[in-house]
Amino acid sequence: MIHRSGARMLGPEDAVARDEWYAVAIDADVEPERGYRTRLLDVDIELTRDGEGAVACTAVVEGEVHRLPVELAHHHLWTTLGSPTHDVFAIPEADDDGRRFVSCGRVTVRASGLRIVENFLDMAHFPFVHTDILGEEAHPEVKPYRAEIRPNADEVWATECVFRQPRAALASDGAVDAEYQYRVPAPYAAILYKTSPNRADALDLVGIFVQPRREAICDVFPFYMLFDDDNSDAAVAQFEQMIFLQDKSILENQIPATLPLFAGAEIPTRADALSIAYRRWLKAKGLRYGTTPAGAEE
Amino acid sequence: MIEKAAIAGWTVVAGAGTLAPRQRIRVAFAGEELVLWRGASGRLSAWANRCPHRGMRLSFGFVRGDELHCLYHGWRYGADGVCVGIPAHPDLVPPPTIRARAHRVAERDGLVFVAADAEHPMPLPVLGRVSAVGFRFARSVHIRAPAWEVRAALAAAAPFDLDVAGRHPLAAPGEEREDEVIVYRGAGMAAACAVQAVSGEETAVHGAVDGPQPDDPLALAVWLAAFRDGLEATVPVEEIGA
Repeated sequence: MIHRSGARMLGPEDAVARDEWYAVAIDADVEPERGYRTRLLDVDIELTRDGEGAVACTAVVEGEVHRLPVELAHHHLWTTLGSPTHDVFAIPEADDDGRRFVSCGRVTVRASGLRIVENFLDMAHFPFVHTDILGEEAHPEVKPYRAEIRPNADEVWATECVFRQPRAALASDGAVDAEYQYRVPAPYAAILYKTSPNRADALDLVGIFVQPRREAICDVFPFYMLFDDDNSDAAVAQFEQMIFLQDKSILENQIPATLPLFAGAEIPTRADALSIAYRRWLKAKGLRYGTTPAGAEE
Repeated sequence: MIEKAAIAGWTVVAGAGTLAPRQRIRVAFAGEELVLWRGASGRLSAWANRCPHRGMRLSFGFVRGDELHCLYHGWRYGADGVCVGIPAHPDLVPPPTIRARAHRVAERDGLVFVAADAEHPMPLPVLGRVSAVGFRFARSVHIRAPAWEVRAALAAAAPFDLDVAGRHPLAAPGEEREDEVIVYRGAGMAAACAVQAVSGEETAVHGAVDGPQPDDPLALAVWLAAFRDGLEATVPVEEIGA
């Protein structure tokens, strides 16, 4: 539902969703003097880059043009329909010496962005969905790990995660016990820190920025920030896309397509400690966009 | 408001020969969808098509022995729908509250009948076989037309010049559903067309035939395809474009 009262109230009635920043394009994909049209939270928007390289973002609703703020962060362009009280979250590790940023493109997924993030945070599916790459059926166990909401940072984290992986990254030689940490810096974004095959003392970052075009249709921008001097950007992106397309076949077949936050809708176990924390955090925020209202389940 | 009927009616959702052991398909049922699957030992099950864990369609899962395993996290379900294993926790005995919603399912006369998980299902219709072989499944067709229109057309257009010998409504008293089985009979031969109201605009017809010739099911299959094409051709072109 499009809601508008006053000059700047665009998009859904859910103020929590409006007041977030969203990545809406890879910076390099917005070319000078050519409009880049997309959609955010049901609202059609357009990005344009002028001759000096500055990017503007506009939304046209009921014939009225609204100018939206634009931020450049993490090689993506970000905007909002509301009035965020915070900046786009920082990724301090991005500036490490020798770390490379690799964009893995944009993938459309017909599911709630919250389902997409939750899938990204999940280790238990590795043996079944990413068989013989990120997991194997012979080693499906998820060992206990720590999941927590960090109130000061307003983020969700999981630490002390370990999972047996046949081929944890493109640069891997063989099976390893990969060590993981997860960070959820915003409802529609997730970052994974995992053992780098090339640097024993460092962690590679893999992440997704999710752009909710509609409640259950999103564009996902997967990216790497990694230590790897051997493999090309294209090879790294292809590895990630292989993984992500396996997830897409799951995500487009969950019922309902939105994420239920009310008790009893779905049954978690201990392995879902991070998913439980994520859902609890979303519920405490009062986020509704992309969630299943109670009573609407199958 | 729809009150749940005390007695559950039946819906024909597929043909009995459609599923070999270890196979699973997704079928429509009462505005929802089901996974219909057959274990290695031949038992057929019809469940709500979502894993209770994270809502994944179970029709994407895989059958091992007499269990259905969810594709997403490998959760294992026994033939009664109860979860019997969670791979992420190999030593855990899952609580019996974790279960897929199982419905009643019966195979008879070449057709698969499903009733909602109520305490008392209606008796299955007796179609009346004419040969020792009995009814064999022919095929299912999906028709872009409401069920009332399909029923009326089936009652008027008998296959192989057979006569309408019986009409068996499948809805229980109090249920507002159009599902029924129409039985046709002639000399030494019978055919059954089960009408399934999939939605307001889509209807499935599942056909079975009881006749002396090995290719009688093929003949009914050809007739059903022509019946579908004829009915869809009567829809005005401007409505197709709308």
